Amino acid sequence: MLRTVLLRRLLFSIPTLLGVATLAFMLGHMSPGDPAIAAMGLDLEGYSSVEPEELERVREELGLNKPIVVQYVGWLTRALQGDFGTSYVSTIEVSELVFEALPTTMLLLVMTMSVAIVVGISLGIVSAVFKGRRADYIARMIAIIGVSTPTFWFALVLMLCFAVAIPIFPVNGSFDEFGWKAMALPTMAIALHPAALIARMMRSSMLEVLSQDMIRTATAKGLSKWRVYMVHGLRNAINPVVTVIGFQFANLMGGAVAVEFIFSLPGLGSLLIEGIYEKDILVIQGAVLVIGVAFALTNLLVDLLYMIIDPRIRI
Amino acid sequence: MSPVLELKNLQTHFETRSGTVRAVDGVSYHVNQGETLGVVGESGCGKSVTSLSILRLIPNPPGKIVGGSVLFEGEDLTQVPENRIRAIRGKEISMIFQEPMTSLNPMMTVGNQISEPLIRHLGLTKKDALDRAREMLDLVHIPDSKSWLSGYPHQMSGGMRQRVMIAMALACDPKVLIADEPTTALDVTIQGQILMLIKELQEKLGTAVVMITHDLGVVAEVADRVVVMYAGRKVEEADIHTLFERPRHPYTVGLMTAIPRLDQIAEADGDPERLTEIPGTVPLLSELQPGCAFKDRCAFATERCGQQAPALEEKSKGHWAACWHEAPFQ
Repeated sequence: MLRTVLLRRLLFSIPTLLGVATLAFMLGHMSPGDPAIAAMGLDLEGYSSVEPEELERVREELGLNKPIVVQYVGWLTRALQGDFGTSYVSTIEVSELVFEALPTTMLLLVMTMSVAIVVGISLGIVSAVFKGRRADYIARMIAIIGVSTPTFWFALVLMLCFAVAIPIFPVNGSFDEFGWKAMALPTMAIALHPAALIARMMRSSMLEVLSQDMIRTATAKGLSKWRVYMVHGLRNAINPVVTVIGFQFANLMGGAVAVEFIFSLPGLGSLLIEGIYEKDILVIQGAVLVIGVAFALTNLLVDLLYMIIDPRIRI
Repeated sequence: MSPVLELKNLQTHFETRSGTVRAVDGVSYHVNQGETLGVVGESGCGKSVTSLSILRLIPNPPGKIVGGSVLFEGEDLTQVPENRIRAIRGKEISMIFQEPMTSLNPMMTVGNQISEPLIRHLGLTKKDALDRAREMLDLVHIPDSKSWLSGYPHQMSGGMRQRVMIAMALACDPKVLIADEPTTALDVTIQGQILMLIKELQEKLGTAVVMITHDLGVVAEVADRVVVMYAGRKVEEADIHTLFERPRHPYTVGLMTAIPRLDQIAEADGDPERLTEIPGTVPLLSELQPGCAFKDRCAFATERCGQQAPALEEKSKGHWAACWHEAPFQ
């Protein structure tokens, strides 16, 4: 039963992925600047000094003079085969650049999400169980600070505190150079916001469940508080939180881009920003496409998780 | 026969913004082994709060048991430590609730929900508990019990869910079963079945039952003895026959005449008599005035009723009532 649903969801995600690809392509083309100029290693000032014939030759070489639909179909067909073209600037295969950057970003996101989920859910449960008491106020205050702190600012503060003032962690550098230490501050920086959102959602969802009749039934059975909260309460309260987690995973990419850049982590975010600086549209398209696909797959995963958690949704 | 459960002058209050609500204001009753006690009253008369107070299931805050005692085999449940009351809940005293739709956990299989108290209280292994859960499902007449063990509440009808609730409550063979409006949320046709089931199981297992209801019809069906509650107090208590034959409180009389009767409705050739009602509603328990709480709704109220609250007194053997006036009320 689960398998047919899985298959159907996978089929449904095809149009989504196609949309993602189209957007990625459009974004690359809509970004200002002339990729041909960039490919020639020139900036905008150099534009006037270029011979028009020369420019035309480069455009033709890169296929930029073809109608946009033709370019799109060509790009998409190749992208489907894992070929995102060759970077205009570095002349390295985009797929190579992307897949070199991907592990760093994935590691960062998985670490961030794990931290955010553990911290967020625990804070939320503590808040709900001790509603109106000191633990609740402290947890809620942390959550409010968390949702209202901009990620890039928090990243800089963390860097200032724990890399500059008290140099426990490196200011910047990759996982290969420093190992886990390189990931610690970026993880904390990105995790704060989703952890706070998860905590708030967990609290309100848990409070709602704890006021339901079935909690009274569970208590009347003589179960321990722990079992009432964690087995009967949490299980029923977790669904809306899973949705928030799913959305957050997608949103994280935004934060990751900035934070990777701040900490010079060689991930997709850094690649994307460099691509934008260089007007390297194939890199932009490739990076955006991979991020988009990751987004779509995450949503699919959340849907499946729903069905596993809640027997009523299993169709 | 000594009572298995006895409430003495129980008081449960709620602190609200508009003051203290005396939801239960000095209620005493007892139930003997194997007996069914009916507790009757309108919504808001404190009968549910009383029953929840027995197992300390009142959310605190805002609710609090402020006085009196709940004696279970001589042990005062209002005073025992938390882990002791947990050991009694579901093992010695069980409850079933009004809403079978929302009282079961939608995320847990029926089998696991029935198994939980068995594992908790009797220390059964998961497998043994499931075997026992299956027996319980058979006992409450759920067909195809084996496959229902892995079913979920949302796949069941209201009547079946209430049967599951009963199976769950009786799994550990408790001495007392508190049924808080167990049939109110069910179809009329199912109500009778559930009542009969409770009665049948009581006879089989010898459980004492406290049946809380607003429906005197339900009481007439199952109870041996009846307590009538009004505004957080007990106003009348008698065995079932005495109560129906000779009610000694105008409120009880009101409840009785408010039961629609077929002969009454069919009277006067298609011109049915208007259904009888008790005028007004239960007074807000935060603003109780001196005198009898029922006086504003009572056809027999006199000046005395407005000044002094009548005490509960034994009008005849085993028949208690709190009223200044003498029956019959016609």
